[in-house]
Amino acid sequence: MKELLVVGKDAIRVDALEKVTGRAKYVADFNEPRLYAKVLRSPHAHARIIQIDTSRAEKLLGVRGIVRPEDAPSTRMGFVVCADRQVLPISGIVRYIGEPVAVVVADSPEIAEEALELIEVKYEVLPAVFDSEEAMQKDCPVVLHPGKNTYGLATKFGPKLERDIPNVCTVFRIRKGDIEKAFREADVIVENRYSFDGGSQGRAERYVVDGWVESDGTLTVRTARHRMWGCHGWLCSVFGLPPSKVRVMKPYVGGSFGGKGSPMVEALALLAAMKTGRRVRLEYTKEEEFFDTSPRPSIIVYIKDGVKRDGTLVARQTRFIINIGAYGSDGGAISTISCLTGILSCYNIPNWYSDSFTVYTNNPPTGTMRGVEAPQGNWAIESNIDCIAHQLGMDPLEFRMRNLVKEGDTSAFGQVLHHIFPRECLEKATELLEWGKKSEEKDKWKKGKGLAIGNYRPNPAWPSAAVVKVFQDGAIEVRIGTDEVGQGLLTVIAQIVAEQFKVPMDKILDKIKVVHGDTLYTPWDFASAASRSTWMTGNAVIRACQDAKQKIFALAASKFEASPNDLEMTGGKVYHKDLPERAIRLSDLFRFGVANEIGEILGTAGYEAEHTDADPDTGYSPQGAPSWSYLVYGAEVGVNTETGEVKVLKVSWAVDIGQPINWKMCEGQVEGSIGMGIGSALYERFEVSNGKILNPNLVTYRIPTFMECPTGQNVKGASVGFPHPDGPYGAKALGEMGLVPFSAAIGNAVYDAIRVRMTDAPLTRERVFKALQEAKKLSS
Amino acid sequence: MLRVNGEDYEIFTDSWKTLERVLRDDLGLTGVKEGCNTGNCGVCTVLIDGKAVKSCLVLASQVQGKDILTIEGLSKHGLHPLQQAFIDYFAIQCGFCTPGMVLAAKALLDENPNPTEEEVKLGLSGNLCRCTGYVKIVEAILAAAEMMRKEV
Amino acid sequence: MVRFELLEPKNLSEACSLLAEHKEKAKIVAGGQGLLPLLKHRQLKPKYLINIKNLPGLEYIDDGRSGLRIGALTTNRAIEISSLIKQRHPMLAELERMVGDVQTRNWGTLAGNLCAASPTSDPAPALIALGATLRSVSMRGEREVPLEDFFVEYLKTALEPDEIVAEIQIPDPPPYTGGAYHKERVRMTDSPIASVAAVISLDGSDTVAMARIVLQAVCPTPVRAREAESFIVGKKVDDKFIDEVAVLAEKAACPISDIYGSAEYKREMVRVVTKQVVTEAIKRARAA
Repeated sequence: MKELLVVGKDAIRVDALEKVTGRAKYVADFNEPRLYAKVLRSPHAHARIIQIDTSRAEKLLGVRGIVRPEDAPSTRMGFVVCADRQVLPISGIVRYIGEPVAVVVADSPEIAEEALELIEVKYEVLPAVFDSEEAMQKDCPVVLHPGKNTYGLATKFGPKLERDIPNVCTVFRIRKGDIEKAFREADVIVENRYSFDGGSQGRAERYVVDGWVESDGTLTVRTARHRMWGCHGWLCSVFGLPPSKVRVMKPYVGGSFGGKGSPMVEALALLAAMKTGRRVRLEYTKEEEFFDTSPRPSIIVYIKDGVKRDGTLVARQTRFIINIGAYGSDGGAISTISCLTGILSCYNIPNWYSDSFTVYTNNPPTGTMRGVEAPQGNWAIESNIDCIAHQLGMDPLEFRMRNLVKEGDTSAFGQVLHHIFPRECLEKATELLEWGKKSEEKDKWKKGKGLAIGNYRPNPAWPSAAVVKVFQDGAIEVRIGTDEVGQGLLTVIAQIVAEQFKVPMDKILDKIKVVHGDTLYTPWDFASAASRSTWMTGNAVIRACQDAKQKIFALAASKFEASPNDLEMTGGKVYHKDLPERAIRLSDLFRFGVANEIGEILGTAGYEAEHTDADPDTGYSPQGAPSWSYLVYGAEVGVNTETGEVKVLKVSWAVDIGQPINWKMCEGQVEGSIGMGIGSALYERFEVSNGKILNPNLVTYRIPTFMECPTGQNVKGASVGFPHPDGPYGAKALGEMGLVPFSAAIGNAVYDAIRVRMTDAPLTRERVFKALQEAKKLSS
Repeated sequence: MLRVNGEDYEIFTDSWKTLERVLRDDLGLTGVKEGCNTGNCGVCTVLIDGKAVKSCLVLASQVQGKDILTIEGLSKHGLHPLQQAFIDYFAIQCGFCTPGMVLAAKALLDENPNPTEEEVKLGLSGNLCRCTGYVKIVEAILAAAEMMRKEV
Repeated sequence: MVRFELLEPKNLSEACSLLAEHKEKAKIVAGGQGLLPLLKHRQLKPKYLINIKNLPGLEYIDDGRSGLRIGALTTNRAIEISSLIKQRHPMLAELERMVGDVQTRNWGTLAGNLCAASPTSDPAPALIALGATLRSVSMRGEREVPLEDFFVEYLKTALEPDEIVAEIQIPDPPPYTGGAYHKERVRMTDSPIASVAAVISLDGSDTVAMARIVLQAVCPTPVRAREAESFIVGKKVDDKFIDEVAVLAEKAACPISDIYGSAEYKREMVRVVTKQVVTEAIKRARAA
């Protein structure tokens, strides 16, 4: 591969200076005159609204308007799969504790809060169901969405709507091989039930939207979310408006990690703005942020694996039951397929039957969070892999190597895999952790090492687009529709553009500007989601740069008496490739900033990755993803046998992500995933009772602090493998993958330490303590 | 009367306004971020007389006569070594926790110029970060500490 | 956030007068680290807040004739780093490192922590074990309340509605006294699942002369494990009695199952922690 100028180097983030000086603006930093909105919510998990009496609230001085259900459009909206949600319950039915019922708009947030307490709502309480396995019974007396089969199927991608079981939203199946025969021929069968509690993205910034109606009637929001263009599309369909009449802006955002499925908050802010004729800020409290921004669902996984005595995996049967809460449209509905995304390209398994279900219950609606249940599916499957290995008396590393896919093998969805390096990941991660070497133990602290592998891919279901404008001084503006949410997208794109135009690293901030975060100025792109931005937007940007260069070379060709194909460009100068010393400045091609008849030099491009959608009845998808990335974690834990406390002592990791565009930022993605993984593996869980999340706060929803996370020499990572021919400069996807195999690595390490298999995550102290006690009882 | 970043301000505001709200809304110092607004994330950390305090849990009226430092004050005359280190060591991702984190780190280093890795982590245990997993933040702070010791 | 009127007395006497005037409609605010979240959640709706944070002459750690006197506005951080406290009551300085985080300790006061009467307060059990007393003032005069009697029930102190805590007094320990505090918690900065403070004095012949073992987070208020205490008083120090002490201490606990853990698990932790702190306290008493 040609020597790269900027790609592959640790370019300083283009937004670092703004952020470290406090100048970077997030939604709440904009301080235009405004009113404030607060949401009135249902206290019941399932109820019919009989009457809403706002008379006392309206009399409070400072209240400027109250949005009621009848003020909202009746359109059902949906993310990806099904459209089952209205902005406000016009139908009169509320389906979860906390469902928005009305919105108060007032001069200050304090007055709005007081007004909420003055609204009286009469409800007829209806029976509710909270347990997913109960709700998915065909004869479950509580049916959340009787009209489910009339809801639209929003897209062709992914799972399908379930028609016959009332409370099942979507289903997805794998039917590969002959499962009965395979189990008959297996020597050893390992069956287990795993579970993973629900949790929160836990981002630092709370959901906040400023909404207003522009003087020309355009509905405008400035919002703290990702999926800017997705939000735009939904708002258009919800309000019945053409694309030019809705504008969505998204400045810097304080973390995303998924969630925020349906544009509820944007729609409510706009309704408040329309009601009062003023700009309105709707800012969620931290509690609302926890339970009402589409957190990740809880899941139960039944798994039965069959293996030959020599360690060859021959059969797998899995059943995933995902408790998505009251609505699937916030994103929970796609979990039926995504729960497999983190493992389906790791092992050769000739026979696999799987059924996954997303189930409606009267819990707060869930959505996507980093991996979209792929981490949870991986938790079950990679834990079970270790179980099998131990049952056979095999080293878990050796067992994985034996069954691992290699170049030319097939994924569980039937895709032939190319340019993959999972074996190298296993080798490197275990080397960094000193696999096989037992650490010294002291007193009641036992130590153990575990490993797990995961895979991921950039979701190819939607195309990307990019626009590149070249200025006469050689400055370049690139416009993208995906979202910078902290992951470093702007820097990745800036580096790609810099590489295309040969702008040196120390000139990137001067010469390259990434325009983003505004539907008025950027081309459509689905979202920074599903780990797709580097691959999809990156490739679109490369093509847009090439388009711009073609236009420049066509303009310049006459000055060189050469063909455009012989020209190159660097540092704002164009030259014949054989005569680099005779260059002409870009500015010589312009007059008053106009590049003769073409006006501006604009490169535009779309990019689409060839792909097939998975057949929801068999899972077959021969071109499911344009590339597959891999990550292996090795983890060392300490377990306090007196208290059940688990401490993560060391983490080693290796990734196969092709050519990293910016390795420091890649490290940041994995290290951040480790922090998040420690949370979900050990500390973070929603405590839910009768549809109420009891701990929607940072005190008892325990996000890891500095003290819970290994740092310095205790975290070691590396990149393995080679660039992928189809990735932008060979890069593959990474964003979500870091979370995928982490919990399983911890569970496997805990097993190594105390010889007790934990099947329910997170591994809270009390769960580990109880498991230790039961193991003691069994052995005595 | 508030003294913020070395300048005096006369503020008229509601008695229930916290220091964080006054700094952001009345003085336009939006580098002070509001995170959870209930004192559990540290994002709103400012320095009061050199000590790290969560500004969302302080009533504005309570800090009259005290010296308040926000991230804007730190950046007034070029970047503080901590800020430069955060940039150089990739300790910033979404940036929302960054201002509070930098100020908390400054308070730590001003009191303890040669902290161990453990002391850094304990001293900053009131500041949450969801993006970085803390690895590069610790690196940046230790690097800045070393740089600052050399300068003295 | 609740809309309230902020009153700014110039001294403690004025503060008492305002409190006497408004009684239950008013709340004292010092550091506010416990109070402000309650106001933001609208769980408390006082009409008035009486700001005492900047009152002069209430921030001190003085070495008196028979013990330490700590002013009501002394912050937790000041206690954490005080060399006097580190020398006289090392357990207290160590414990203060565990109270919330640095930011909370920089602004919140020890007195405020005690007045909130949370069953998860770290200083409360330790100060009870140290035999501390509180001096409170009102328009009606002054009185002293042993901290042991200060926590009346869940979230309720013995303070009258018109009283303000002015000072905390910690008597000097007799010779051969050692103290230790430990809490089992999930994250380092979390509230305890169960915590125990133990202060033990030995006589010249390695016999336990005095023992105070105080449990926290496993009852509505901190509670002394009196059976455990009397079990070891008068006994010569012996490794073997530690298990029995732990069992007896656990008997004094009355935990409920909640988000911090099941009652059974909390009981187990009482035993684990008691063993740890009693062992440590005796070790320190011997070394004293």
